[in-house]
Amino acid sequence: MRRQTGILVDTMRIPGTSDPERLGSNRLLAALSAGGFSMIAPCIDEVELESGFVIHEAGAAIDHVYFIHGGMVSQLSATADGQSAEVAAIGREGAVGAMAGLGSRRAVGRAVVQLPVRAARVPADRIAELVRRSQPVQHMVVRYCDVMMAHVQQTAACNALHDVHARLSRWLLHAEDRCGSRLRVTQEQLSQMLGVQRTTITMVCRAMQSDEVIHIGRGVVDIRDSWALQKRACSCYHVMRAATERMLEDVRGISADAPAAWDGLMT
Amino acid sequence: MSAGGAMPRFFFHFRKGRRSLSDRDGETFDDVAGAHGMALSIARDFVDRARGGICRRWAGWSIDVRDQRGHRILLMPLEQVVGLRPGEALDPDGRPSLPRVVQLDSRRSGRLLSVLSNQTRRLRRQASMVSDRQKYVVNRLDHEIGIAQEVARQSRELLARSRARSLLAGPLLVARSGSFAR
Repeated sequence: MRRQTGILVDTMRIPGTSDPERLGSNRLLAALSAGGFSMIAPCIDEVELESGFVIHEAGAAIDHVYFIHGGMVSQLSATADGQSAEVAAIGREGAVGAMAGLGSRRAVGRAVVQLPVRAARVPADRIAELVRRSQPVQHMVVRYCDVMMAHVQQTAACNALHDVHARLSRWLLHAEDRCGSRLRVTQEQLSQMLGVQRTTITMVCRAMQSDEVIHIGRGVVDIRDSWALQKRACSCYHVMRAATERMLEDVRGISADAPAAWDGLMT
Repeated sequence: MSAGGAMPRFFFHFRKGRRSLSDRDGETFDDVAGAHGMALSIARDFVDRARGGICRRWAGWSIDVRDQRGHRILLMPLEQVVGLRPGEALDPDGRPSLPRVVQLDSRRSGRLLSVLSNQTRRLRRQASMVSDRQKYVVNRLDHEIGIAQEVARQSRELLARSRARSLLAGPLLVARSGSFAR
């Protein structure tokens, strides 16, 4: 208990810092009622994970659920010949390994940190136990797994049908929503996530740069014109975003003790 | 060009007429066949699977594969992977062009709109982050206050119990001290 108090003080210092992008915290936990949250709070460990960190491999046991405060994690599916593609991206609207709450303790795919992550880490056992005991926590986990399934389905259709420009634009928008317009991501990472060749990404980025939509630096993509990006992206971007917002709305609905004034700001 | 690199490096430049995009990094392969295979998979990435041709933006582009010394290994139109002739597209870009002034004007206002929408998005995101942070912190504070109240309640209980005991013990002590004095 003493350790948790220390962590609380630490996180409370963050709002005073000048960097607004660090302010974010997990939207699932924020949407949860005070009662539901107080059951999770004692087990929270605040952690920071570097980009490239593998949270879990496919088939590995899920020990912790990570409620992301900021940054982005990719769920990747890999084929036997080493090719991979992203099937879902998780940011501060979600949790990595949430399925463990429903009892499935083997990871389906690989979860890799793509953009440096801060997260609230909770033991999977604890979440599974709370899902049995607390209605709001159960509702949150079920609704979140539900929306994850929707994301994976949408991504599968998107990967099969949409061209590389549209998919890259969609990915960049999702990343911008979660981490702001300066993204520390390499073209190697992008090619891995979109399941295309590195050269393909280089050329598409080059073309977007000449249209002044993005700017490419070494290991950095700067989004210059997200409006243009939205025009290029496929409709999947809006579909997934809307599904996420509905889910959060639902979780908030069940835990309806949050001050209404804040809800108007949530987008 | 690395000294120890046993495997040859190939570069996959893109070319359309006089325009070109150069590949600065390149990739290594055992032999020319590997580079050919890579050119094919790159071209396949540009297939628009909904329409069945090459993405509109890349119609007419070719992959120009060069070795380390800059010799051309292969020049392959992207259309080749979907069985079309070079430059041939499924739907040629035949949009009627707007008068130039209107176009410039709309482009400028479009840019302004995009700057504004970017700012709005950023502000909304920051506002939502601040509000989430607040809720998270409020949740944590609530939790800590709950614990503190519980501790306070327990200590009050303890205090009350010890007072009660000292009330009981008081006369006993007095009696004892009285007997000692006597």
